[in-house]
Amino acid sequence: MTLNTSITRRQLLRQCGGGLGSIALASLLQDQQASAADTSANPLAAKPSHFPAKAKNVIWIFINGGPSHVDTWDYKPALAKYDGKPLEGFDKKTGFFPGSVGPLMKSPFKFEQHGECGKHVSEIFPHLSKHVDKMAFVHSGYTKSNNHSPALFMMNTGVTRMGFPCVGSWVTYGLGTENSSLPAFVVMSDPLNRGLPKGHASNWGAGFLPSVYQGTYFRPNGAPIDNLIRPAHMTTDQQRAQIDLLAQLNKVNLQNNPTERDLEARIESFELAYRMQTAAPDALDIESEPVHIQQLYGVDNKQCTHVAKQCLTARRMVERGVRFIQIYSGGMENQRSWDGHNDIEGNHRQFAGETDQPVAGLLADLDQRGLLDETLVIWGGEFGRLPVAQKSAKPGRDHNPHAFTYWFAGGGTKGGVSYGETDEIGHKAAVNRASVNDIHATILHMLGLNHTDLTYRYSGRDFRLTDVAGKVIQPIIA
Amino acid sequence: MKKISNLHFILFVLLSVCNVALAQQTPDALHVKRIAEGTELFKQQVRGILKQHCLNCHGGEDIEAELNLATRAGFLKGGESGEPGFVPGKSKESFVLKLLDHKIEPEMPLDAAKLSDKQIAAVAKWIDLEAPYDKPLLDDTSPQIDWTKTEVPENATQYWAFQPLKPFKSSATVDSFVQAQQKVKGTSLNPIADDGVLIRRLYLDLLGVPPAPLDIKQYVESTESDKYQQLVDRLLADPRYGERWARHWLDVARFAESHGFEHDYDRPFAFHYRDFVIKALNQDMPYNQFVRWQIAGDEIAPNEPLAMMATGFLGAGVYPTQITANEVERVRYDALDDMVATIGTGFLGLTIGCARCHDHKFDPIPQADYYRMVSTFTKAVRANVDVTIKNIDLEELRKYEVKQAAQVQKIQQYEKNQLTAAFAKWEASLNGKPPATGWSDADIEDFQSSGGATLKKLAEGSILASGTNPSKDTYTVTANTTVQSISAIRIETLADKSLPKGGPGRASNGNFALSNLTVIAEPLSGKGEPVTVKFTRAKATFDRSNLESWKAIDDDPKSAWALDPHIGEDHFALFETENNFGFAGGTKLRVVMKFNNNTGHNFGRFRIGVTNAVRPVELEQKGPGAEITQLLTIESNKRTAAQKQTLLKWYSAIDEEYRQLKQELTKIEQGKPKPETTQVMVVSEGVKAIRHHTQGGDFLNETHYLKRGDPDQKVEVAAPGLLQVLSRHPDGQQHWLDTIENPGKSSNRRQAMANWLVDVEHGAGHLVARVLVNRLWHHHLGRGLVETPSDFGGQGTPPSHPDLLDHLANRLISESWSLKAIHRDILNSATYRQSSNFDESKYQADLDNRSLWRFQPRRLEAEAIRDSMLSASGMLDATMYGKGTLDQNSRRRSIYFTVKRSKLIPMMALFDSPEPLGSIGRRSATTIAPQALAFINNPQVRTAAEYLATLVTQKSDQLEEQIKAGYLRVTGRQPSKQETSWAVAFVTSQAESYQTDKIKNAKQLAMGDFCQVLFGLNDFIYLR
Repeated sequence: MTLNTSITRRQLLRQCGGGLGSIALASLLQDQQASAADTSANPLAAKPSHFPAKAKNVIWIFINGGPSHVDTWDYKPALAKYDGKPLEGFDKKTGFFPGSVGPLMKSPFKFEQHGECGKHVSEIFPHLSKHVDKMAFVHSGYTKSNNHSPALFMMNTGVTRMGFPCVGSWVTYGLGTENSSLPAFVVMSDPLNRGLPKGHASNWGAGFLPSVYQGTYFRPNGAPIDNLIRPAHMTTDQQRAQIDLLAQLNKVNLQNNPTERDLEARIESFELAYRMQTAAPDALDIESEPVHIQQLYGVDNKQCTHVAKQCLTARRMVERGVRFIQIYSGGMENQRSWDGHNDIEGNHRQFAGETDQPVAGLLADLDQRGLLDETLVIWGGEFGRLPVAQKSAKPGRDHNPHAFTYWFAGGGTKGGVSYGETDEIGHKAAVNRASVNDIHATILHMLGLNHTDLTYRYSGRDFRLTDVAGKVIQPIIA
Repeated sequence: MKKISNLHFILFVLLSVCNVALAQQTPDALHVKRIAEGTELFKQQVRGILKQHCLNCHGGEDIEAELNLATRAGFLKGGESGEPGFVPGKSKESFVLKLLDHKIEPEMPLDAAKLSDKQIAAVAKWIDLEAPYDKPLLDDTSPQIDWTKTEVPENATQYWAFQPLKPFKSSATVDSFVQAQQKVKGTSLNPIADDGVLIRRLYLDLLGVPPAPLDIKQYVESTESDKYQQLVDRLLADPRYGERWARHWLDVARFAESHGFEHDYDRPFAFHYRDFVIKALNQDMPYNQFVRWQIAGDEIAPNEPLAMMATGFLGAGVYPTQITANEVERVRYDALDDMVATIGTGFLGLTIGCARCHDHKFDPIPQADYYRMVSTFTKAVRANVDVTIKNIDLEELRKYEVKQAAQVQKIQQYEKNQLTAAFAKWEASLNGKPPATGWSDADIEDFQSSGGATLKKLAEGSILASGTNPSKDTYTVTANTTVQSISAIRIETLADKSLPKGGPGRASNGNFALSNLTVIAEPLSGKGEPVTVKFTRAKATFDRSNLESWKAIDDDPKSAWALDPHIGEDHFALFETENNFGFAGGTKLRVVMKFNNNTGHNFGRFRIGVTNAVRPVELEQKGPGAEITQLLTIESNKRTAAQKQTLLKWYSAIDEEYRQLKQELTKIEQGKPKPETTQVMVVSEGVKAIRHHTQGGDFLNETHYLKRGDPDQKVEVAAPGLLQVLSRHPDGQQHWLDTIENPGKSSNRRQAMANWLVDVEHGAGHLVARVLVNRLWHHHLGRGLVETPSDFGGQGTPPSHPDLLDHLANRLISESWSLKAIHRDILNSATYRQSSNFDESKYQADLDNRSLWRFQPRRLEAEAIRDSMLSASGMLDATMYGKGTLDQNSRRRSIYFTVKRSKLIPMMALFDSPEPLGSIGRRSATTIAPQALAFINNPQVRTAAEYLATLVTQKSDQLEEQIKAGYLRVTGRQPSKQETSWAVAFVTSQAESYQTDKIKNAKQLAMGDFCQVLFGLNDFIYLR
């Protein structure tokens, strides 16, 4: 979305649609190839990965509020056996409500085996269960907080505190972007007025990285980003004339100061801005998709129309070279997201229903277009939920920092594999425990980035997404 | 070491092995032999290998991945991977061996060469022999190194930043240092820049707004030889200087006005800190005072409002608002870390925060120093307190006292001379009947609903609504009463089966919301002027928070009195009047009730009543009571003195004249001069902390040394202290703890730290001065002498001109820490005044311009860009100080935008204004397309362009003149002929194009388009 001096003349002409002013610029930029490494002028230029990798883009379906692993992907038949029995020695402070701890509770959902891998999947995912052979499950995740916003920060930035760069920022910092007319890192949140994830924009903030790497929040309604709409009195041509004059005058300024690269970067930035006015709405124009594709995502299914549109938009963005996309399922907490403190059954049926078909449609559509190989799809939230009930008229489950499940699909992951295990009842990650740092290291690895080498100097220290920890979960990588 | 026999030793090993791994086995001879062999191998080889290659990270300094090899038990248990470190007797299955053999990741030793095959073979064999230890790798019998007592080696002070300042040479100047280095590099200063360039540079640098055309004209035309120095002085005295430079410091202070995290609640009184910084800079507060007040203003000068406001510095960081029991300690340590880390980078240019989990890797800051620094803030909490900003004026107090005494005397006179007569008159007017008591219903005569509801009068006098229930309704009712001296009106809301949920409202849930009540009283006789009744107080049988009865008589037309959840019950509200009213022949009340608050929340059934009861009117009105009624039946001349006194006392409350006298007294007393106070967010001790949703306390009573920064690994309580490497007093750190002035009730730990920071004799003063002058240099020249303004440590960049840095620091101290003195030193130098022109040969000699051969052009910051647009277009509202705003259409300077962490102003963020999460000493300056989008499409930019268009078209009819005027206002220069002719052509053709499209104001719009282009010019946003 910013100036990209390393693009070739051919790319430039293609992107510009052949404006005459731009051709002159193209040759000008050609001479400046050498300056491509100057990140102050060109911080989002595409950069090579540390090593060859399959995944180029990421779509992260963030299951906001904390999905219950034992009611979704982590099948625990023992819970039925112990249903109603107290969990001896349980630390009541594990969840958020120490006063509402109930006995062990079986999943309200039926599990059946699916796919060649025979994965047990909860009945709330009738569509996604058809794709288990594309998924690599990590069942042994654990995190450091039992509270939404620190846990969200942990999952997004690797630190429970506020103020650190999130995964998407690190990735765009490391790889730049292929499409300068669109943001490199896009975030979409719940469009049904149920709020933003707790901690708001810090979840997609750049922290101490330059602010160009922060996620661009696409508003669910109206113009998706600021300043996309031309002043009302102008036509395209009239604005073109204005920008042409500006370019003409700024080039005089450049001629007087020929060594200052920022100045030409700035001239080009106006051309890109001009193009963004059409590129951004175009990426969002899902109406132009054939009806059968819309239906594949469930755009016509009232329960999931909103997520279907976001998933379809995500695919269109990936096609256009957007590097990192995060879609939040659900809004803030309690009944507004997967935060099933009360009535875990009703809560998870509802939110699974909102996402199941759209995400399954996304996997199928990426696959049929050959895009799944280079797109890493991630499903997961900020923590898991407890195997014990949270007492309520209709029982729920409280937060569980000790265990959660993530799955990955595409982008060079192995399909139909499961890594790590929780204990018999899904209380704690037990075998091949995977820290959040490990998950981050793995995501970076899939994109060809070495998590120990992706560093940024801040406040006297070379910071990493994975701090001083993290190991790549090799067994899920093809 | 105590000698033990071989046999004992083997037994010891065996037992320890058995305990851990072989609990069920009986040791046999073979086993004993294997253990003995393994132990020997361990002593000969394996111990050395583990100690040299593994122990440092796994059991020594650190316990990475939770794997501790120091003991056999720790090794066997393994780390966070969950796998045991080894399988006794089975080296091939052993996790650690696979790591050492590079069969799995992470390959060990990490970031180091693989062990030799021989070494790996030795470890493997040892594991096959059950991996016995003769003793733990960390020898328990050797003196334990206590990290909490780590001392910094003496040579640590050799590092340049910890050295005292080099001796001061008063003859030296900024230029002499710069030129000395240029000689070495083979470069030289550029010539002094043109007047037009200089005045623009100075305005933008010092004030953050461009010079007005007249300022430019006067400056350029002036022939005075010291006009530049005069301009510097004038701009440094301009209050806009404080607004411009405060913003630089607010970045360092990570200033914001909300807590961040999940709710991002506002800190409504945090803006005082921003005002403190502006005021301090404008009054050239000595920097040492500026530093001390921000850390301990509440301890040093608790009666100085600015000193209290200054402590907002400590509390500006983020803080969660939802804290679970498990998080209480960690969150508090995070908050303390924020304070210490910000003081480190902000004042000392040291990344002290790096020493939270281990000794600083690059600088001589032991972890122990960190926890002693943390301890300084143990009891310091964020609080909103009343700060006196103006004391009582004694002259006014005297005037008040005279006035108040006079009124008291008047009342006493009335009591003495007139009250008895008034009572007699009143009693006579009763004609022997008992006095009015309690509430009486007014007789409702007429009633209307503006929204078309059907109103019906019921037999007992109440009104019932039915039929249409409009979304918003207004009831107008007239009601008659004979009661005089009315002190309050009552509105009863009555339940009724015909209403939703039984009423008394008409909303679907039975609720109502009376948003407005007005009453006009007129004589029933028709003779006399109607009076608008003014209400002063309201009370209801149920007053719910935010929907209290007084909301019906406040100024807000929307706020209302409502009843939910008391649905299906009778209730009423009383509305007390300012003055008693009521006409002799009876009174007609025109009562207007509005229901604007919520859809269909209209009254279902209601009744109106009045009372002449004594004030304050209470809900239950039982009249004069039995005693008074009884006394009144006694003939007046037969009453005892005591009875008369009782009656008079009771009567005085309803005597109108007496009441007015008393009311007047109340009014006077309300005007008693009071000190003026304002709520300020401070950080202090012993104050009521701002509460959060927390399952714990606001602070910990004591803070501990934490191993690896982990609150679960407390070592011992940490006493307050300072950085050893910057403490040169023979008494050590204790010196500053012992020498505090003004010891109030606070612990004064912070005062000690503050004094140490600015102590140039024995403390950190020299470094603090260096860091500050470098910040000033950084903002004036675009790059610091130390390029990393917040890191003067080993990871920072060494100074390009160390002697100049020391010179300026010396100057700061010798000029009593005056910032403006240093500004002058820098601004009056030829180094600052030189042109930014490019020079090929100098460029070749010094590509990076480190020798300062030209003024380095740079982009303006977000605030300066926006402020300049507002200023150039004549839109700027120059109001200083006070509460900020989130309204992007505000015309005030950008520093007055409220900094709410979850709602950062997009225009600011777009141009690299940092997120206020940690201290920032140097902003980035990116060039990205969304910035360009803002220039072409942003509504505020467009508005400014249109204002500018109006401004220039008002000044002249000539298009060329208009264009020149626009150029001058925005870029500070005249356009070239070429530029003018392009602009003329554009405006003309653009206007024609609009005319063709039949758009109104074609010319004005075209000029607006041009002015918008001006804001997009590189000349506008680059300083050169």
